[in-house]
Amino acid sequence: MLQELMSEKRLIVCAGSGGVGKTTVSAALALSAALQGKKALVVTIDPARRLANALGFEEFGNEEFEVDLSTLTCKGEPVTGQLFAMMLDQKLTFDTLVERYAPDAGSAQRLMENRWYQQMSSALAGAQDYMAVEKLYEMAQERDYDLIVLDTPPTTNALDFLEAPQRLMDMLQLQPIQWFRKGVGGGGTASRWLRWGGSSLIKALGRVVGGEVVEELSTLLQDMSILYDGFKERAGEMWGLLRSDECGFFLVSAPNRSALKEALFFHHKLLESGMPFSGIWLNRVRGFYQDKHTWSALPQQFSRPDEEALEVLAKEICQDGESLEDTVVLLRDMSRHFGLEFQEVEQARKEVVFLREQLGEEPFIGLLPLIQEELHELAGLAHVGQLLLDDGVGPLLDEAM
Amino acid sequence: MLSSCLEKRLIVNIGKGGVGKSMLTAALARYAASQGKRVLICEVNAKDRMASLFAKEIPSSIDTLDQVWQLEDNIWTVNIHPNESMKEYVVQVLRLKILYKVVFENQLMQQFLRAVPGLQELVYIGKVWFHTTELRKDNTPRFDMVIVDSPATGHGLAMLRIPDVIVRTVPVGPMHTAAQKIKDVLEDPTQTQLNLVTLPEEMPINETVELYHSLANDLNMHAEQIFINQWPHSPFQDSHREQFSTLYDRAIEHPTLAPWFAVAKDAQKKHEKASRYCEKIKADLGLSLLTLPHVYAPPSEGDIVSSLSQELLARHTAQ
Repeated sequence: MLQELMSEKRLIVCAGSGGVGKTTVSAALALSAALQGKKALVVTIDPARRLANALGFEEFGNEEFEVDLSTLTCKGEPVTGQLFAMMLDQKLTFDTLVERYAPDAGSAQRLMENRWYQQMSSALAGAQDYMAVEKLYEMAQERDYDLIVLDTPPTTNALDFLEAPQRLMDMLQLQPIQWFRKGVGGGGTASRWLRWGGSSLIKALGRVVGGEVVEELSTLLQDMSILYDGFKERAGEMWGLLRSDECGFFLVSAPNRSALKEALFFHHKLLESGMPFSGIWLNRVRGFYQDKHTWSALPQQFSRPDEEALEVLAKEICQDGESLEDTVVLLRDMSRHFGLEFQEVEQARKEVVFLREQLGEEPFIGLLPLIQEELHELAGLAHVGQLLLDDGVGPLLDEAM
Repeated sequence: MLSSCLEKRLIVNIGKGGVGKSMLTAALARYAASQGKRVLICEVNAKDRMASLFAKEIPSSIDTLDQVWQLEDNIWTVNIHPNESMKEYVVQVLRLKILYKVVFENQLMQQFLRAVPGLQELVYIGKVWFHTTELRKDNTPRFDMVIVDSPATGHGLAMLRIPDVIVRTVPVGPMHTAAQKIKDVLEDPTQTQLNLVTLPEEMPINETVELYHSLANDLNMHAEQIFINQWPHSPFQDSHREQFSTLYDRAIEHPTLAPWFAVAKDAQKKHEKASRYCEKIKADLGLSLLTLPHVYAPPSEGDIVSSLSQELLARHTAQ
């Protein structure tokens, strides 16, 4: 599935709530494209240092950085593709947009010197998501990557991503103070009433946040409104690109019920807003084990063996001179532990079944196993990349069933 | 020391997403309640997780946004929501009740207030502060202890940082005064305890060390205690380690034993790594550290909380 998808799509957006390994999946997706000989870019927001190290990042700041793949091989052959990574500096991106959309250098300068702007440009509702898509759009327009993967900003709520442009636009459009001051319409009773209402609103607001703050903020909002048209037009194009056939959304989720419910809701919203959904990756799924580089699914059933059975098993693996008694103790402990782990495996499998029921037969569900190996090195990430290319370990489960 | 938190008025649990902050918050509340404390749990713009963590149905009379409701003996909860808390901030902190009705229910005004940078975070933490200092009619505290299930790292830090930012950016006025009062409580270690919550894995541990330093350097808030959740179980006794590796190569070819050995090897690796990270963070930060075991396949979230709070109680008794 992934291999076909990567020949159709130029952009992949990874969405999901925080802590599910979205950044790792995003980076591994881009790397898997490079393993396939493509030129790929991953745009990420705040990679953990570990991932940054794996990619060889030292300095961030809106610059693409070519990852050295010379140590990697793909099926014994050197890798011919290229991987680039970029870490988004949000404030810098916002500043660039202000410079682009302000009508003149003076007003851009004034805005950027405003101390409230300095505090808020990164904290504005929706700004982070908007900036991420802005960067994606810019890269898609101006560069010749075969594939660009966007790791969406970490939020508790994945939905924020879809609502981001609207929230930012609402903000920029906000001119309450001017509106209150000038009143609306001509000189009729209604407008006089509104004027009166407006001034009492300002007074009230002043009592809550302080008069000076109201004054400064309304100036800032006034200054920022010059960006509105530019931002709005750009947002239309940007979110249009997300809706196009060139783009595909992956959801990344943990394999537990509350995370899945959230992912399903997001899936629903994606479809509702006309975004192309490509599938769900469940990350860190229990129930698979690795022998060297081969993954297998754990058996479907397990019951704790009795003492007699333990002894039989011990005899089967013991060699001369090894203590059978000790081996039985070890196997007994291990079977107890395996029994506990197995309960979680069964639970995880139920969650996969639940997700399938909810999504229907069609959509892709990929399972990524819980990997104990650390991913500090590129090789670790390439391992995940290879798993992605194989559509995860889900097919093993189907075989085992 | 676990019991040191019983002396505090405000406990803030902070850490990255998915490390079990809510579970720990619930378990700590149970523990404190069992020691006779009246506890309020504050969730911040969350999805009413406490109800399911305490295996309770939300009473139909309760609008969970911003209404304090009782979960069980000595434990109450409130879910702090931006709009509703804004109202409380205006009505209770600034004592402008009529004004709220007339002015703040105006939609445009609400939009404007949402746009005021930091005001939302100030309102969140302001509400926490309000309950921490809230008095009953007889002038005794309404709650002995307030425990905050803080939003994940970035948002949590923003919330804790905002009083300081406002004190510095806004020289005078009501926002300044409110921020100063909150800052005083947050920075007072006799009243407030900050707990870092994490998992025994590389990335969460590194982020916890960073979080500790940002809190200490930027905010003058010194975390006192680290909770490490989901401590892995060891698959066999330490003394069998060597035997395990001897048998591994043979067992991994065996149809029944291969999965046991593979799973045990992973678990062993995980266990060893956990111990290593634990040593590392101890050495880096020198804080009191408490590990809580991984709870296997709990039938419900409530069972995890019960199991963790029993564990806390056992640690308390052992002290």
